[in-house]
Amino acid sequence: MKRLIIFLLAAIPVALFAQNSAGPIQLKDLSAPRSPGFQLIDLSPTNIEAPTTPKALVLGILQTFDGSTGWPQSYSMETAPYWWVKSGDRNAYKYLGLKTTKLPSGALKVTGQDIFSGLKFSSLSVSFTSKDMLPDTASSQQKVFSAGVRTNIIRWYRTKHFDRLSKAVNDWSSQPPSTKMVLAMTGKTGDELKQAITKYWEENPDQLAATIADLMTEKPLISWDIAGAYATYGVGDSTWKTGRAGIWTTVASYIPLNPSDKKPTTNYLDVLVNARYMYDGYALSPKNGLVKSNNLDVGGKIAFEFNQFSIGYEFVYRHYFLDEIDKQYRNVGVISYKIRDGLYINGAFGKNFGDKNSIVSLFGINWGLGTAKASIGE
Amino acid sequence: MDTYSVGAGTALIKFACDVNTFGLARSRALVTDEARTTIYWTDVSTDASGDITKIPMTDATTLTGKLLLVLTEISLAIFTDPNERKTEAERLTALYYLEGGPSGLMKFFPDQIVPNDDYTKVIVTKQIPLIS
Repeated sequence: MKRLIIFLLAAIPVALFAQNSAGPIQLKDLSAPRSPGFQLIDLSPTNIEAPTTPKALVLGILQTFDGSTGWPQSYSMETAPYWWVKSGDRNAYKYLGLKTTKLPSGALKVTGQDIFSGLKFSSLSVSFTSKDMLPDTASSQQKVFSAGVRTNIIRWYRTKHFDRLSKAVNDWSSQPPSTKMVLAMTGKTGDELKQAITKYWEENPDQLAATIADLMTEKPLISWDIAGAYATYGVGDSTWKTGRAGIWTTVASYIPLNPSDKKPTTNYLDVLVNARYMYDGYALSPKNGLVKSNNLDVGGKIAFEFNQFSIGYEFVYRHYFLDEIDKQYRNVGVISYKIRDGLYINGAFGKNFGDKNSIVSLFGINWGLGTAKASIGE
Repeated sequence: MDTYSVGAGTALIKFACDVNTFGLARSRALVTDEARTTIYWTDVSTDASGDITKIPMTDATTLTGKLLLVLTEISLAIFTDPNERKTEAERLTALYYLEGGPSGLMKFFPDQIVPNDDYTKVIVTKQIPLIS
């Protein structure tokens, strides 16, 4: 375990540096954590998470209101190995989730949505936090290391969205570089080439690529995700024990609220259903104190998203297989507001699992998401 | 600078371009003279992969002494995260294949891969003199 901790402590700073090789890591390079490890220990702003666009590397940092140190207590790192594997068959269609067939000419033709395209972007994560995970009378915090995996099984978009996206991609690809551009650019090197191509791009803005980027922010009509995580607690100075392990699944539907000709859609009614099986090494039994237990969570979330603002409610019922432990609930309201491009505030407030004094009060800030809409849980 | 020997006679020289990126890509290849005044052959990618499928250009005699120029324009605007665009700009590759000359099949790498300042666009260029 010591080796694992040393590795993680070494790996996270290295990853922070690798994320921005142009200089030291900055706050804008971090995002509020949403790794499976944080979800497993009920630390994420939401336990029922919305799917996101696959990313190469996501670094997380979280400040909780109940912490008094002034520094964030929680860190996470999540990456999709497929991004880093050397592969000779990458193309935009695979990223965009468009299924293709090869014509006799060798050209690719879009034939439909690849609803399983998210599978290859399955992610691995590690996270670290300090939190009181033992529901006893003591209020001491434990160090918590966790590892998780997350994958999107199905992602299905509206036919209208698919038609718009495939047409835009087809239109973009049917405008190859002009002969004049090739003659002007090839043979130039270094700054001379950079100046020439920058001038060309300024004079010929790529509106179609911007349209495709906008369409990529649209959410799927149906999405199905599976995630799992394992968390170990530092109990005492040198003892590490299995804390929790779990697997969970979420089915989500994003119902567009914009007029049908609005593209891309920015307003949604989100309906998510979630189930989770979890082993808890430190559940609280009224009769026997801390006991090992297995439990099943079933819940859902409903939320409205209106451009910069989203608000929702999350409810989860937790059933323990030990009769001596009563069922528990989590009732949390979650809000998200986009301050400006790339800067978001997420908050979650309400009643968490555990005793009646267990209150959720999380406040996270997301930076650097570009024009992507930050929704609850992202 | 890389060169390719096309030989002589009526042997057809074939060309292919293989772009490897998650970004949107489109390419054009052409053969011109040293003065870049006449176009002897040109072909383009026909999908967003930027690939040009292996295709005969023309015969060796016509190509001798000419320049093969290839340019690929890549849009990374579909990645909303700037760090992701930078990573993809550094990771993307292109390979060029020529076949039919005395040296058989040869593989070439790009001369220049140049992104713009915010990494939303990348240009990839290659120039190959075709010798006898």
